[in-house]
Amino acid sequence: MQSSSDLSGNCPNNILDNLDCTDLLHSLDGGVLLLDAQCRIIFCNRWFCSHTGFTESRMLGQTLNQLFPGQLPPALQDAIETACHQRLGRLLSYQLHKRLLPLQRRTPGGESRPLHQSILIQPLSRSELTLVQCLDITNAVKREQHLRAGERILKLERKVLELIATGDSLDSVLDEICSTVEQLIPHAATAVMLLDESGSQLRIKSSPSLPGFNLREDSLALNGSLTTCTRAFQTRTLAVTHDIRQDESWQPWRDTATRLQIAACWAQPIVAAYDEVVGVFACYPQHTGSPSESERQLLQRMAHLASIALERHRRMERIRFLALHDPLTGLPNRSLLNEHLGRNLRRAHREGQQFALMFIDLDGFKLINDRHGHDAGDDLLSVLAGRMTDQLRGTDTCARIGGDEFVVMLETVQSPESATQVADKILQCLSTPVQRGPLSLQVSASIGIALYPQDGTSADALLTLADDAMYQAKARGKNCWHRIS
Amino acid sequence: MTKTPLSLLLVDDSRIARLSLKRQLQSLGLELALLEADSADAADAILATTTPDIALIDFNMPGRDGLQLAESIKQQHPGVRMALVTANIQDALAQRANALGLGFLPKPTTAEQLGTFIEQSRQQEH
Amino acid sequence: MDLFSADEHDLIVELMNLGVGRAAHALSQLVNDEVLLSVPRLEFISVPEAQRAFHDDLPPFLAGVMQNFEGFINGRAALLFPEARSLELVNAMIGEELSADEITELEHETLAELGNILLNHCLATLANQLHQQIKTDIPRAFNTNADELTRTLNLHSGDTDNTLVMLVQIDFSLRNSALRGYLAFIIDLHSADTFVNALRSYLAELL
Repeated sequence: MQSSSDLSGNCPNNILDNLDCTDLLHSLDGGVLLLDAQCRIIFCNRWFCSHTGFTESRMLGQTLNQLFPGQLPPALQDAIETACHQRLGRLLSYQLHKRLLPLQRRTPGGESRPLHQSILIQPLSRSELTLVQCLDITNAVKREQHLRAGERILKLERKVLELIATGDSLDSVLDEICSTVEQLIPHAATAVMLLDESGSQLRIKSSPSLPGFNLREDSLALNGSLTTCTRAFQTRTLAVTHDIRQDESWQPWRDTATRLQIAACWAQPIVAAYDEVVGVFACYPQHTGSPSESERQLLQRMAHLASIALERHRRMERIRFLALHDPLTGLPNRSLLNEHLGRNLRRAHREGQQFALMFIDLDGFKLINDRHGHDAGDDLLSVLAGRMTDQLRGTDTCARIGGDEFVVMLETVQSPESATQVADKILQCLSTPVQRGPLSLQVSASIGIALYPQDGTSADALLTLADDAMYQAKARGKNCWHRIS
Repeated sequence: MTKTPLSLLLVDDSRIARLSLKRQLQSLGLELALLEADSADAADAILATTTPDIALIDFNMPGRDGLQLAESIKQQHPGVRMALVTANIQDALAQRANALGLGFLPKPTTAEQLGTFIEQSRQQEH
Repeated sequence: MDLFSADEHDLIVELMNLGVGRAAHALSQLVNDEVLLSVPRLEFISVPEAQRAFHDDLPPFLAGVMQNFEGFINGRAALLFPEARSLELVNAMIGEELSADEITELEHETLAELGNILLNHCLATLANQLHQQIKTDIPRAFNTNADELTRTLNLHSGDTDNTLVMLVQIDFSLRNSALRGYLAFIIDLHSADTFVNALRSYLAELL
């Protein structure tokens, strides 16, 4: 194509003609080499010199093998030879080779870092020469590692969430969270510590990689001197002890730490609903130091997953409780009673023992409801339920099976008399007035007793007999017990 | 003492490959009787009536591959000396061949390699 | 296409097998595991036939690697395989168990190298056995679909009456991954004369 402005002398063709290509190659951001048919360097650009530390004169006439004896991977040597001799173009990707030319890059801080690279080897068309291009892909590699790391975390998080959703046991979910962190933070063991029932101790709930990890019998007092974990608990943020040897509070556990290869401690609080701290997620690296930004985020994410698991567990427990207990009094309901009864029948049969079943119906309860309202009635029931339970052993059962109907099962009795003695005590505690503000509420009870094995040997038989006996007690004037003989 | 001609069975689905083998074998100047089959099934048909001394078997064939054929020949005609001839020159395959007691000849074969293999087979017999 | 006799066709298949076998060997050394490659089918077709074959036989979404070649034959060669499995292939090559969602830039490059190694070995073996010269360019990776493939391969550039397409099926088995890919060689027929003559001399010596 004819250029229209011959006069100016600045038309594109002229510019290209006057361009010094060597200059161009030297200003490229990337390594450029030209090799002859014997693989010797006949040109190398500035980038190459600055990234190898060799001067141009040192490089010219040498093969790459001569410049870096014993340092080049066989695949690279092979590729260079095939390109120079057989004229076959080659691409060497970072992921397949990882290590290619021993090049260095300088960080802004002046440090020397190895360079991640991919290499293009291209035999030139109309000559014997071969072009070698070296691309610095360190940033791309970092980005990808970041991307893949993020994907890995998401995948592991998804796995934990699935475990939570499918209702796996809390222990296995917490173990999975620990394993996940251990996969992503190498050379570190982890543990989950939870607040115990008393609310004053942290107890280890999960520590799959720390067998026999005893922190003063598996618990840390919260009002003692501050350790990493208790600090995390109190301050509600990540607590870091980058070297346990320099932390006084770790003194009592120095030996344990040495044995388990613990050099540092990073503790992330586990915060449940309503901003309540319920535990601590602890990470114990084998090397001293503090967590990096991505490690901090990982700990936060995992502690969050733990709190989700705990919250769900709590809810499931509550649902299970409600399914088997009376919401008002907290006593077992009919379902749970049947379970206990069945179990006790089998046990008593096996061991050849006696036990007692009592049907308890409150006398005059309806009147209290009508006269003073259902709130008063509810309060009365709660108090009476408590009084009854107080008369019983831990192994006995007191269940609410109706509005004002209860069943008591005495797990074992030595004789019918021991059963009737308990019945008397119950009659007394139930007929004692209950104070509710200015009101004095009073009821009484009618109790039917049935004994195993004398009165019956099946659940149905015993229940029916106790029920009938209760009606008999009512017929006899109430506030008494009766046993069908 | 007259030598009876050595009988060889060539199994390869490619006519060109068989031709190539034949050419190289003939260049060795030995007394050879050559039989050809273009698949494992065709080889079985030949083996039903004749038992060759040596079999050179291609690995990559449609239907049963060379190793499968070699296994069945080993069971039915244990005296036959076999070699796997293949473009798939990898350790894993070579090991499997060796485990069956087969020789391993990478493609493209050379007359020298074939000569060496035949020599070794001859010596094994005596 | 009836450009080649049965023997000539057979020879080309053998040479392709040889090349592919060598590529498998080279790859197995790079990935440190067994790599099995085989050529179940090879055919020569015209450009219109190729378009139809791309549409009918190939998976709808393709990942590919292409490189130019010149020498005793001129043209371009491409390795094609189902795009959905390209990440699986890369993972099999670098020996990782990542189940990521998408392939990244660097992984594309690794695929390009896979194609590069395979195509180089096929073309070089073809040339060496026929005592000819060939030169290959560096590879380029791409993603396309069966309809766009014609454009990606530049099938219509130049004289389509004088363009020969060699379509080769390749079965890959890499670690625990097995998949089928295709090699498409788009050969400038003007250069096919050299090719045919080289084949014929080889056969003449044999027969």
